[in-house]
Amino acid sequence: MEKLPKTLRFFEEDPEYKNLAGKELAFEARKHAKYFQMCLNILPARVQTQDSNKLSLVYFSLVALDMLNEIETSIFKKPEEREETINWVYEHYMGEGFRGSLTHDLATDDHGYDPPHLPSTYFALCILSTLKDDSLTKRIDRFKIMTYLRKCQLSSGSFSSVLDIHGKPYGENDLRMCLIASSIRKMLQIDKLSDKEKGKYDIDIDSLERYIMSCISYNGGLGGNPLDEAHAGYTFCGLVALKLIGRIKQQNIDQTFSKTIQWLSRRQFWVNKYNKEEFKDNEYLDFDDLGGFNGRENKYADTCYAFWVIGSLKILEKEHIVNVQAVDYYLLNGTQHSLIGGFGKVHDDTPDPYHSALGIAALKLAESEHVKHLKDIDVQTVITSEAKEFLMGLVW
Amino acid sequence: MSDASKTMEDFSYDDVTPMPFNEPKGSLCRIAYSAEYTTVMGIIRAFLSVKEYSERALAATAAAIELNPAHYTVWSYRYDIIKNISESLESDTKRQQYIDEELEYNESVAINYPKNYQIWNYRELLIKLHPNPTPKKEFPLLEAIIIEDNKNYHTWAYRTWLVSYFNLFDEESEINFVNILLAKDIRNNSAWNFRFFLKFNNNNRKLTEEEIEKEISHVKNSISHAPQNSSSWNYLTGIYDRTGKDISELEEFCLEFGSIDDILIEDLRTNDGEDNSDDVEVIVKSVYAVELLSNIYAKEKKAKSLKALEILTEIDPIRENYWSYKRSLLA
Repeated sequence: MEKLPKTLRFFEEDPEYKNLAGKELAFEARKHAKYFQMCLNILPARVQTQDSNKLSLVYFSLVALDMLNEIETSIFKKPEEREETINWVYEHYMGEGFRGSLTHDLATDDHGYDPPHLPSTYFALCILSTLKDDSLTKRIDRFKIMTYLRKCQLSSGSFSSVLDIHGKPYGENDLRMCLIASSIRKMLQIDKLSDKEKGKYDIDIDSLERYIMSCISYNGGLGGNPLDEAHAGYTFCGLVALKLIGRIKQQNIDQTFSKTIQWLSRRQFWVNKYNKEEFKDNEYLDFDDLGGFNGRENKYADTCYAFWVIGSLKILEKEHIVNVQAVDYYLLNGTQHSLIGGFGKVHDDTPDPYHSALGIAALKLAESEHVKHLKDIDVQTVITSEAKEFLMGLVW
Repeated sequence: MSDASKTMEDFSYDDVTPMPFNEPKGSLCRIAYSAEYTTVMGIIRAFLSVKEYSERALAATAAAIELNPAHYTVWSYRYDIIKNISESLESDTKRQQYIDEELEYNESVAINYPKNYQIWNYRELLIKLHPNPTPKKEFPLLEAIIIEDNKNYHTWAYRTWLVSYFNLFDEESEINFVNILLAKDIRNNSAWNFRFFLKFNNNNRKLTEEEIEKEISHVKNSISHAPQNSSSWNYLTGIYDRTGKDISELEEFCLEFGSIDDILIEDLRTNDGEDNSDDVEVIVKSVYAVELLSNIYAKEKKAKSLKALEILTEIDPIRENYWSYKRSLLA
């Protein structure tokens, strides 16, 4: 067997390792581009279960294509097609935000059962910045969106995703919505307003900060709501939201988040002679997961957690603690679909736009050698750094 | 009597003009909606725009939810229908019966879509609307889902809400539930998290010193059975943090599962990669024990802490960069 460097020695426990030794890992850029193009095209009826989150489907594929440098070349054949798509995105706009799908459009004035939806508002802003739409500041009213956002904030500091017909927050509220609210605020450049204007249009960031901090669990990770189990996805949401509202103090990171960093470092899966006894009793261990990340203790690894964990560490300026070669091994050899492109949730799984986009973004955040030629992803807004620069350069 | 079990076939929609929808030019992710989806959404959209609160509208929401359970306004509309109709009923008994039946409907959806976000929030709203809610009636559903998927996030979060809302911290049922699940799988982190919640976030009282000690010896015992289980180690250090205890008390306990002898470091280095066979005596039984030792020593015994980090670099090499980061903090 080929001798491995010490930091990769855990692969020697992998029964499949012998077949893999010396195998070159490859990032299938062409296939990924084709896969995402396909996802933006006509989708089969089974996707209707995700109809209400259609803008999120568009978002994942578009951001991935942007990272791959393919927006101009592979989606729009003529310049007017780009315009048509931008106009189509604005069909989802309704003054105080965006709806998730045009099947929600009731063409009424009161928005009773057709309310603006915070996640869709965030995804629309991401899509429009990725398409570099410079009509954005003229076509949306950022103060109206902020007025709606303020109404979605609960007394706890958290957010609901919509208002009900009485104008009261409706639906589940958790750190996902806190992240989305913080992102919208940042993307609309509300943090740059004068204090007087902030008083009128800004959300309550003090109570938001308190809420996020109260979601830190005894193990250092964050749960979706206070007292819920720590979970890498919610940890990402909480940390990024804190960063977006300017409440992570660089000089205090090592102290304030010491347990969080420890917990995040433990998410990358490994096995060697010192822990392989666990295989006897722990049903959640799988050699396929080597180098991958799980979202909670004693759970299987999954492509998306590579992104949530590395992204969380990046916010804490500790992304270098992950073992990048192991990430490459897990994603490129394991969950990347070598035939049709894209990434599945787990080994040998069918790809989907969500795991595919996050798999690529995780490799980029980890600074994998294999994706050097891709555009950088901005971990705070989760669009390319180029799209973010465009957005932040807009004058309102 | 509720018609929650009735389907669209039981009602007439002849007078309802379905509201069509179409995708304009330039659309991305155009879904080839099924004929059924187009029909049901056409009717639902008509109802949503006129805000009809009726049994036939309720049946239409069920059809829409079956096709698209993540539809964020259909759930809110369905709640308004239930609220509206239940408030028109003349007695609490009838209201109670009506909402009970809706809870049953919600239960069947929850079992089919255990990872859906909307369902549990909706259930919470129904419980709040109920004139005489009985939290214990919720347990069979939660248990049914947790038996299938013992770490289902939504179900555990809902149970946490239930316990807080109805103040069930001291109910035998709760700690028994945790004990049964941990007996089945000592690595079930959701169960450990729920245990921590019951013990250390009890709204009624704080644990006595004696009870805290009992909890510590309970988790230590669990660690002895599975020393590489990070859930129980986190629980142990979690207690120390929460109660302000000094972790250096745990030094001796940690040394049962690992050591920071110079000889060990030498052994690890000579053995390094040369012999991975099963007959090698594994001197370190728990990476987490050595990790905790490095944290215990970090304050006053830096040399020892560094030694622990050296060992960790050998035995847990995937985290090599984390260990060198920890070393940099000691400098």
